[in-house]
Amino acid sequence: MTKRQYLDELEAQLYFLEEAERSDALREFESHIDDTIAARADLGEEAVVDRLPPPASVAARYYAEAGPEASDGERDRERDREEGRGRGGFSFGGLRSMFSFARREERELSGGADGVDRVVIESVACDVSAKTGDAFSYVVRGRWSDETAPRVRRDGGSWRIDCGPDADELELVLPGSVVELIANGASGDLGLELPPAASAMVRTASGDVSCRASGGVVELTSASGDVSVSGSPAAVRVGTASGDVSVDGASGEARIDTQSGDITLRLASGDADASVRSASGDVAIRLAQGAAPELLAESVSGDVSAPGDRVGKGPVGSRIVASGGPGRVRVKTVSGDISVR
Amino acid sequence: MIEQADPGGELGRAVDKWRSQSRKGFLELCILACVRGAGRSYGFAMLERLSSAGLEVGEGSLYPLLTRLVREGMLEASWETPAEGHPRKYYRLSPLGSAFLERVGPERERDQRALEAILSGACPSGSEGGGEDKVDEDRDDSAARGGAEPV
Repeated sequence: MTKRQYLDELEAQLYFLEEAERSDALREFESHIDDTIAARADLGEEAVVDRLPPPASVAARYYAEAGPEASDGERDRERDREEGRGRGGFSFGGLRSMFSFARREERELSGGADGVDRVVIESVACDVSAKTGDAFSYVVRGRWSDETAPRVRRDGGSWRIDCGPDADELELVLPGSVVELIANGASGDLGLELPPAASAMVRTASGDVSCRASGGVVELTSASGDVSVSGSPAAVRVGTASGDVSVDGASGEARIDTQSGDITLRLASGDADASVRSASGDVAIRLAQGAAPELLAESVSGDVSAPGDRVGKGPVGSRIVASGGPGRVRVKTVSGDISVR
Repeated sequence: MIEQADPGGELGRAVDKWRSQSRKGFLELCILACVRGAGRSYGFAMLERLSSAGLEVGEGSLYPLLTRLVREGMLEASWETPAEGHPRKYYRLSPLGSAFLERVGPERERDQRALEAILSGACPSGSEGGGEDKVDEDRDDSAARGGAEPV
């Protein structure tokens, strides 16, 4: 892993820190890596980075040391003022941290409510599954200490579930009242079934994401996790670096971008407007039955096969264009092969 | 490895539990002392210094702990960019950290000497038989403190 990749992953894992603290921590790790590279001339950058602890475990330490304060800092300071000195003194914090035991029991945190319209999930290694149902509920399971326990906060109809670094799984039931689901994960996998017309915005580092939606807008981003979308979302926007992408049944807007991840897209409607780009990933697009959209498919060095007129082939690349409508399909790759059928 | 000598895992769990209780405050103290000794220091140099003293600390433990010590007001931090090379985050002891170290450092040294005395069998009540466990514990404890206090 390069220094940049390590820092990018660490940044994703340190989501729970405030912006200033997060960038400070990243800068400090970068400085540390530079010092190590300078001190160990026999090792290259990647060898130095490979000796570092995994970003997830570094993030877990930050969470244990700083996480609860980072997000609840103001509230805690408020409470300290109310209680006089309260837990603000160093001695109490030190004692508290000394008594966090290594041996932990399986724990569970659950709850639910009516009138929920927005759900925000923060997770690290926790797998998340969401199903549709009549009433909002959540269950978090894992082996956490008091310091790393999940935190659930409610602000009107908006719920925020911060799973913390030690949660293993989160199960959600989403009723029809939920219109938006936002999830930030690191390495945990997310399997989401959205209520009708609900939208989702999901970001993970290495976790896989699968999302079933109908009517809403689905935006999924992952570095190395695979992403799959099914159902009939109004719009799909997906971006990955190395993760593969599969979108089954897009009928409206579909925007897909990958670096090396392969892309499979099935369009469910002749009206669909698809824009697909990849550097080295292969792209396979299946048009809706009988559809003849306006088409542009081009690749610098990959093979292109699509219905339409071949414009060029050779060192300058391949390009196939076709006029049609009402839908529109544009595909571009650098070295990935393109197949449109 | 632990499983082989410790089929039920009890020893491993007990050791893990003890380490997590004992090491955290100890590490804080070592870091504060390390910064005081150097006047000001940065992460990589601290790790080198701790390592040369025989204490292996990982980056994943050090930096989050430094962040907390700054937040708790024990350390002060600032970025410095040398004429040549990359920026480094330097830490200095705050007045609070300095006072903390002056209070807690000697306490820790006293405890350490007491532990060494007990472990080496130099504790006078250690040779006494009879008495109930509770009484022995109390006696050990007071003897250890008594032995350590004059220092």
